[in-house]
Amino acid sequence: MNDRFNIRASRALVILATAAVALVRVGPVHAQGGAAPAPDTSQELRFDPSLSLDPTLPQVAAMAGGLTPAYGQRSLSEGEWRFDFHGYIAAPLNMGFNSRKDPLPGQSKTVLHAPPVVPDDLETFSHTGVVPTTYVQLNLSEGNSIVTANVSILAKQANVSESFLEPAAQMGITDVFLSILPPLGERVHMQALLGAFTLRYGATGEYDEGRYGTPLIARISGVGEHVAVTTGWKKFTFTLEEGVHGQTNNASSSISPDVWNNFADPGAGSTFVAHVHAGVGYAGRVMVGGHFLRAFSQDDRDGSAAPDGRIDVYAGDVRLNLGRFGHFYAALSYTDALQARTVSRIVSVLNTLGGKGLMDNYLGAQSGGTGQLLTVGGQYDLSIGRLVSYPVPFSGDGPDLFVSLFGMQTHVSSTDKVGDPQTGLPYDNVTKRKIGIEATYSLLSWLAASARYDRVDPDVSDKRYSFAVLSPRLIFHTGWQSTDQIVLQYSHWFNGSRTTVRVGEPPVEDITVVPDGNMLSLAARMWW
Amino acid sequence: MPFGQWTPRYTGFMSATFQGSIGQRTAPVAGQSKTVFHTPPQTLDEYASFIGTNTMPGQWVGMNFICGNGVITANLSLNTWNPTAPTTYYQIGSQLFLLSAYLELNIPAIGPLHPRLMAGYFGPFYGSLGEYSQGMYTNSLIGSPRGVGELTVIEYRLRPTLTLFLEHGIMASRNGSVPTGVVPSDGNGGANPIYPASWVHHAHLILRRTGETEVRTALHYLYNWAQDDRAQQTFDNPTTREINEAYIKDAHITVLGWDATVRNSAWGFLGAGASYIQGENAFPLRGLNTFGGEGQNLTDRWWGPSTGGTGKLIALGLNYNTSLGRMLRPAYSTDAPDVTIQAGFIMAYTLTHPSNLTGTTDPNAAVPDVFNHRLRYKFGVESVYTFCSWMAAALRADRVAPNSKDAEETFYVLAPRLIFRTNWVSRETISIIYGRWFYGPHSHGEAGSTVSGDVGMDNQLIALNVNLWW
Repeated sequence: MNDRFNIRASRALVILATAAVALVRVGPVHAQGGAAPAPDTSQELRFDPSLSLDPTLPQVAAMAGGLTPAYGQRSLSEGEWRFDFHGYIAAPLNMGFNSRKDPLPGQSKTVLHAPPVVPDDLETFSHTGVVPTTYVQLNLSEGNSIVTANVSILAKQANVSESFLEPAAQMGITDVFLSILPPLGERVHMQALLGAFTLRYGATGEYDEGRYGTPLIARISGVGEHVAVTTGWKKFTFTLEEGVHGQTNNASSSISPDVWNNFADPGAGSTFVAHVHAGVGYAGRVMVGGHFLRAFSQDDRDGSAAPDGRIDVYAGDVRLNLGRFGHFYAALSYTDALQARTVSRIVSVLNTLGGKGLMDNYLGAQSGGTGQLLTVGGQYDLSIGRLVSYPVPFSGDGPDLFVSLFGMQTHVSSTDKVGDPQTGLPYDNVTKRKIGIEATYSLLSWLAASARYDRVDPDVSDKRYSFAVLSPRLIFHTGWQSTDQIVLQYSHWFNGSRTTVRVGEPPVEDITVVPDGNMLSLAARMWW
Repeated sequence: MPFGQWTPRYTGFMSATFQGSIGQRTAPVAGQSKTVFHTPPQTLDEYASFIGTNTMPGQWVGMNFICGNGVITANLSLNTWNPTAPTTYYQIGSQLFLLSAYLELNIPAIGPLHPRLMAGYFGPFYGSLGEYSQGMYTNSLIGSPRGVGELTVIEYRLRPTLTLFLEHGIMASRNGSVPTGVVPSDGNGGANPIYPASWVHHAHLILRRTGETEVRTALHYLYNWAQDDRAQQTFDNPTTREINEAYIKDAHITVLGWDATVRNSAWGFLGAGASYIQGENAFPLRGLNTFGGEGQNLTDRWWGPSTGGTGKLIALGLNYNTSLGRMLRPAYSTDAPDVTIQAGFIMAYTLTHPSNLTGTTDPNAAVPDVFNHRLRYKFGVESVYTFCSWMAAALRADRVAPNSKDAEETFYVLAPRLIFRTNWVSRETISIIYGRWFYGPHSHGEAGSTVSGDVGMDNQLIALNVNLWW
């Protein structure tokens, strides 16, 4: 036992020492990559990386430790119908700590909050994804090599742990779509998705939404179609994607926004989203993409005086699969909203819900939904174990140090010159920025230690709103490459004097609320 | 499923539709376009309504999980008519979650007798005129009891080709009585304490002859009733013309029906049926979905609010579908071009008791002669030409005459379609649909319609529907 421990410990020390050297030695990608034998792809198209995330992937931020889920296996023949069941669960116990201002007899000074009162609302720029959230997704599919029926069941709240009923948190049957892969030969690859599903563009992770759980370009939900065609020439691949999405219901003027209806918005009209994307890839290593989408509403049921609204998004991104040098993704996105109040929530920019969400979080109530966002962001992930073990393939069955660097910045221009009356934050001509780093050291087959640091500036010119989060973690799992993890996490927030949080239903910023400074979390996750 | 071996199975059906209707804004101002797009569509095609024609395919997902052996199986189904991904707000009730949960006991045959039993939450359909569906139109001609209870089927083989079936069932409505104090709202799906606990008793006699031409004919009896004192309230609500909440009478619905189907491999499938529905104070009744709906729809859409749900409805229906390939070529292979034709006809006549207003305190209640002695009918034909393994073209036309007292309510629907699939015989279809409604001057939605009265009805629809079953 002691020998095994000593071997592991010495192996770990070697990795740490070599990692430091390797990080210094890592030069330009092409210089390092030139030493490695390039894979022969002259006869075979390499389709990865892709422009968007697969609709069946969970709509959550990356898991701690650089772990990525791998999902089902398609049927290999037209005659064989195969049933597949895969999914993901995340169930966290979160406890926020704060102090009561003036405790009375029978009241403790220390108060405990669940969910924690911290600046981590998904829709806001302040969201870091540090606070684990409940999420369950069950994917069931039935199909053959050409056509597959996919149904997913989602919940963002488990009934056994809630204190009041949030019907909308039990989303139920969420995605329903056909996936069609017509056999067009080896040089052309086509996939059509038809039905109700969600697409995400600008996902910073290699196989997930990244550390922030925020697609940098847009998230498109709805019912419609999406076709992607890829072909190749020598080592180059060329991808074209297009899609049209609509919605199935629309809140009538008789509905009052409330918790049970997920704050239905009678002011939103029927909205449609049309989007096109183009990408050029090289040898399965590089994908450069261009994106355009338009979400628009022309509906006379949303109030006779409401103008037609639209949201346009223009974006470019680059994704590099650098082999032992890791994975890099960066995107530049320009969002142009015009009278977007009537655009519904089937389109989501930076996790906001439709035009109203864009107004509430970025453009301001006085903007009428008119304004622009210029967003740049990216993420770089590196496995030191894979790097130092080269040219021997790294199997993952050993100690590893996984490092992730990530950040994003958004500049907002709005016709709202007043700013947020609650917080005092301006809407127009404001730059928001957040950066972070996470390192995870897999010490044993069942134990890893991790630490993450985030800094968020909701307005880079006014540091009173800024805050930082430091989150050390212990990660337990059943094997080096197991599909489960239990994460014990402590987080401490270094809040500015005007750091604000959202409270209430619907959540609104409240400058009078003192955020929790500390959080303990015990989260269980598994995927299959 | 083999005896003694426990086997899980997963079956289902999904249909998802991108659809929107096109209309014109009456008075656009600056920043507003003249053309408007509506989802859900603002056309006269409401699900389960008489004026519905099935032109709009809609959404439906049914996932059936079955586990059992050759004798007994547990059946669960997860369903929704509105998956969450394409919605813009949470619609209570659209996620049906566990819709069915029942056991099916398949008792081994005792000589010519073969008994079967279903018990739990489920809902059988009676009066389906199509070969594998309801036919051209949605509603079952006889009815569908829904709730928790039992259904016993005894199969008796009279001759090798002749079998008699006796069915008998008792059911309670799914949710029972709503507690006093609950305020009906969208948040609770309109749950109303005036709805009493209701019950359904039904029996059926079915005769089936097998052979080259298979014939099945059946007689049906269904009785839905309530006698619950908890439903009565202290005061009448004058806004509900259908009922005096301070004096709630026992409610009854009786359905007598007949239907028959003929299946021939060459000539196709013919279904015909008729039902006689009699209601008495039926407005608050739940649990039996008749051709005209449950008690509330029967009252509001068929007999008139002031009848309180007392009246009679006679419905007749006919449905025929055939394949020209099978009809004209005896050695027809399904892997070849074909033309299929389906035609349907529905007629319904109502008799009401418009003077039956005893006890109501509503001063505005009026005699609704618009419902009494009213004839409604609709018919349609659909043809699908499959000219290659992956594509077909279809055309559907319907005429709907909802009111014999006002011919100007009559309207027509024309709907061409392109259908794509992965093979001649496949489990999925992808359809691009265009629908055009030709309304009469007085065409309108029925009571409870979701078509907005503010902006009127749209007359064009574009839809992309995908469906697959497994």
